[in-house]
Amino acid sequence: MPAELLPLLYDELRHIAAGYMAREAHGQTLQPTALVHEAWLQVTKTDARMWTDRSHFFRAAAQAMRRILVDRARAKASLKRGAKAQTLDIYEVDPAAATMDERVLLVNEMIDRMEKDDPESARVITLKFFGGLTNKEIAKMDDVAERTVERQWAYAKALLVRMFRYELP
Amino acid sequence: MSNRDSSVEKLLFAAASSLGEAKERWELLDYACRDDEEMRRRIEELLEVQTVADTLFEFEPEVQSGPMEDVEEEGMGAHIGRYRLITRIGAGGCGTVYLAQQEEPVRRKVALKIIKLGMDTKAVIARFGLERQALAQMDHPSIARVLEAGATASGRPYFVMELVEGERITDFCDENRFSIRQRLELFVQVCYAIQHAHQKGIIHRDIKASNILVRSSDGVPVPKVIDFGIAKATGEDLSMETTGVLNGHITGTAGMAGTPSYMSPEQARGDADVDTRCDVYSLGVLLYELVSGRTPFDPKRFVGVSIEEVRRTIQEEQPKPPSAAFKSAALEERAKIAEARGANSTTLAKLLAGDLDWIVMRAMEKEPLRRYDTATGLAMDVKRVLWDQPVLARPPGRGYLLGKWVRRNKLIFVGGCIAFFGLFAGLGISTLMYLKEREARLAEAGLLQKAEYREQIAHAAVEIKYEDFEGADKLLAQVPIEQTPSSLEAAGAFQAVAEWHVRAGRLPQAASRFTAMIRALSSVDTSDLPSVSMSLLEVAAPVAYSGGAGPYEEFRQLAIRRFDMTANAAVAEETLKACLLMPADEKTLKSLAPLAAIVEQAIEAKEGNDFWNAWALFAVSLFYYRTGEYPEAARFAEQCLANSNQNEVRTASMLIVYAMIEERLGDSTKARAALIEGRAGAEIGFSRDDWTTLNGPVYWFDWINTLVLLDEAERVIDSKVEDLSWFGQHPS
Repeated sequence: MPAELLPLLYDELRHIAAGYMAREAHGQTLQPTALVHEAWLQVTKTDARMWTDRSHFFRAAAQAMRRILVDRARAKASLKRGAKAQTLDIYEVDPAAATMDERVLLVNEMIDRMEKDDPESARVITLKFFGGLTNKEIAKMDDVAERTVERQWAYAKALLVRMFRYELP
Repeated sequence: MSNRDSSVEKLLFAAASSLGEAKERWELLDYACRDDEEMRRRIEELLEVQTVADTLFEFEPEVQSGPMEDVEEEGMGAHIGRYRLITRIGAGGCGTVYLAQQEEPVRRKVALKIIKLGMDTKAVIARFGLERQALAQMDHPSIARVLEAGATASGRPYFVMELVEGERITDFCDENRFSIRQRLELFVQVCYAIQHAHQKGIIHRDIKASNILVRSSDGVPVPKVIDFGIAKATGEDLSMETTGVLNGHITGTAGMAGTPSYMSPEQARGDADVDTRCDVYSLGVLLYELVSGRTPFDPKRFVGVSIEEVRRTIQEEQPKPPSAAFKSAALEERAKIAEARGANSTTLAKLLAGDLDWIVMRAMEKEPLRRYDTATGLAMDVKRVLWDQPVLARPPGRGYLLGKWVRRNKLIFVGGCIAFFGLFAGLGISTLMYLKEREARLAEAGLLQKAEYREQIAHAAVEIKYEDFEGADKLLAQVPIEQTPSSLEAAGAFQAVAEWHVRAGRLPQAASRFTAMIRALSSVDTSDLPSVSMSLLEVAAPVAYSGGAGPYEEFRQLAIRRFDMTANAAVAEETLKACLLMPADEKTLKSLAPLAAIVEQAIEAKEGNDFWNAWALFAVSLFYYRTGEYPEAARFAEQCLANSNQNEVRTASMLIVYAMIEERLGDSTKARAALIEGRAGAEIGFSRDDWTTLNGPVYWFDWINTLVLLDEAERVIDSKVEDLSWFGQHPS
């Protein structure tokens, strides 16, 4: 990837971070700039030339965002529970009343499990939840109707909670 | 779960969840899953968890309802965050501004702007947060600080700003009967403030008269630009589609950010990545209004029309220059406008026409590339007016080839891009914070390097202005050809120096500068005009003559990419000649074939005059020679040589090509005769000592082309001689 494109991608990353921060409740733990910075480092650590287009970049960025948020949430959870404590057992969490950090961990875990049987749903959740992309953006990226993304998203959300509720890990 | 199952499950889930009534759902599932209890159970589970799933992924935090539901209903004295509203001081298109008291950490009065409902508050605040660091770095007496952004209890975004007292710049000037000179001086200050922001990486995006407040401090007018960062934060949320009826301004909550009259074409188009030059455009509009008392587009025209119409007007319609706009006003209004400027109608019209018209229109070019590069560039040109310096000093060099436009642009851009390096350095600092990885450093170095080249070119342009071609050439030589920035000022500088080399007979150097010029131009001027394609010939000649096959090939491909779609016979003819000075491969010839066809048609239709026709015949003959269709080539060559319009250089070139054609056809005698005659013609041409300055209808590059072709012909024909001598049959 030509060096002069990097600043443009950086702007994309800012956009994604803005999308994420927009949904975080007020007492947010990450400054948007810090989030962007970290995601940027993660994304650029991999070979920059592997992105062939915007959608590649979005996927990479969403994954980077995911790693960062999960790491942060884990670190905070272990701080709260003391250094010796096990990591948070997400199965104790009530999805309807989860904190942002708990949501991050829960969704992260479920996506991993979903990846094998239904990669499409796992992908849409990653892009929406971690990447902060709108249905419209995903539709444009995949070249499908927005309605299609809406349906995928509705199904993926329900699938995730069903897996959480009814399928033992 | 197999994939097939999963896709059926997805379809059924989508169908079932679209049904409102539980009963209908059961019926659907009863039917669809009659043989598959397992699937039915899974879908029921999915439907059951839907509400929980929606909650889990519900991003918007709940809006806390409090006593402060709606400020306007609650009235004054209400608190928003740590601010207490005192009074309403204004209402604009996108919100209401209040005077407010901050209680802690310091007690002070601030302006608090509450944005109208209808946008994604969190996104607005987040976007503001992203720019906050950069906004905080702005420190300029003419920039009002934006202190904070937040959300009211009812979920509306608000911005807290430094309280600025003053009047809208246009009103202030009119009330104080500011002369044009005073207005220009004030305007220059505004430009500097905007430049300061640009250097910190902040684009205002909504510069307009009502966002520039002026107050008098000890009799000195002090302008202050307000609302920095707000258009950026609120703007991205607005999509044109949702805009309501227009009402003088684009109506508030949704729609194009900004006021149509001041909006740059790229903003009207909805470009996400506008740059600092959109502010330069708006500054141009501000200057327009300050001097002429009118806006480029009558605001009444934007009332009650569709968004598409507003967009079209801004993007396509060329507004009248300020002086013409002033003159077209009603007599009474003209008198009023002139009086507010301490002048009468006639003198004001004279003051506006010329330099000021020109500066305003340059700042308001539709294409950002053609505007001043920077706010400082615009300010410097305004200052030249104030100092009675010519804005348009005539550049050195001869006035042909590229037409006036390059020259016009060249000079005005000189001032424009001197400040460019500073701008880049500023942007560099604000982005550097994040760019620490290796790639990032490279990117940064790339940008700085580019800025450096631009600066060198700017300096070169200054030297050219003072006719120091040698100094300019040294600067330009440092810019690698493949890094030549594409802009008119770069093209102008390279052209001037290349022509200087030609005048001194240094063709290799000229070739190199011309190649850079073509690079600089290739993406700037997209007009399909022979005046542009003619510059190809100017470049082709020295490149082919002294650059060798490699650079010539590069040039040729550039030229083909640029002009292969032309429908203009004159452009096609120039391109053919420029691209066929050396043998070409099949692919190249294939892409030139349509151009040859256009020229042939034009010859048959007798579209051009005799002079053009003769050149066209030459071009087509050369084309057929290159493709190996020698009888065709000979036919056109003979027509060309028989043409009533003859000029020495074309005749010489045609004879030389004809010689090669006849050689290929096997008629050595004819070939030799033509070559001798052609060579004699070329020698006469080169014996003239003024050939490097020939300026039509015979041009210096025509002579060089003759030389290039002669060189080839001598090789073609002499090699034949060598071949013969190989067999001991050397003709006596």
